Amino acid sequence: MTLYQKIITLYPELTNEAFLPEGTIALQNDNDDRGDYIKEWNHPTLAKPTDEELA
Amino acid sequence: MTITLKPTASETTIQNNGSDVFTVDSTGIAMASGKTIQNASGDVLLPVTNTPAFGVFFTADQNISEAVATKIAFDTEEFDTDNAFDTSTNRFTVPAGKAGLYSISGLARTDSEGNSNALLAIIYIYKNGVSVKRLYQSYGNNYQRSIGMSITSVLDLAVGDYIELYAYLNTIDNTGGKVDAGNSSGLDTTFCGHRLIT
Repeated sequence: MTLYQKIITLYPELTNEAFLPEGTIALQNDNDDRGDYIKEWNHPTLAKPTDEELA
Repeated sequence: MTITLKPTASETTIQNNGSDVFTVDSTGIAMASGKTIQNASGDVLLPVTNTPAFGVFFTADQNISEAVATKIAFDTEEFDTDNAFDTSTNRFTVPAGKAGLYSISGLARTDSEGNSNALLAIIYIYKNGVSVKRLYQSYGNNYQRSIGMSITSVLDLAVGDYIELYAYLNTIDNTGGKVDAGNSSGLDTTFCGHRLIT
């Protein structure tokens, strides 16, 4: 399951717009060992998922 | 050091320790081969060339996850005049003495790996880890499979600044896709740039 899918599963109320460039959540991959990660989380009501929730 | 002026009827050549430095005639000044004019910092002012210049591509399709801005992993250099592009970090870094305006261009083709599946795609130019330019290709309800994008920008870069290319893909089935290498030959996804003569 991808990071996006994990977040959507955790928060089904999130819409696709949240992940667009002017959205509240930015995911990034710098082509290094880190892989996909949450670069920015500015959602007004939903808390940024913890590493445990995304594991 | 011995400076010598060697005049003739039509020109005067200035020598340093017997070696020609430049020649002055009625048309102007001609620098001897390999000679330059530099400022106090050692930057070459004349002759000028539009270098550093680099051109890179990658040889295998790169997977990108859904809705994740992903750095494109360019692994092959077509040219790199100043050895300023690092294929291990996939970035161009401005070398010492080479600050200035740069033309930076990128080309990427995303493939959602399913017909009528791609909702939108974006190509970004990143400077020092931050998006500074982008092209946003959205198709509304006319979903696509493959989206080709190109972006060009002139950036004012300082020594040590680094530039990277990122791509983003948003699909209907939420599975992401790939950036297409174009038959492993740099046809579809490339990255290039050069310093402008100013």
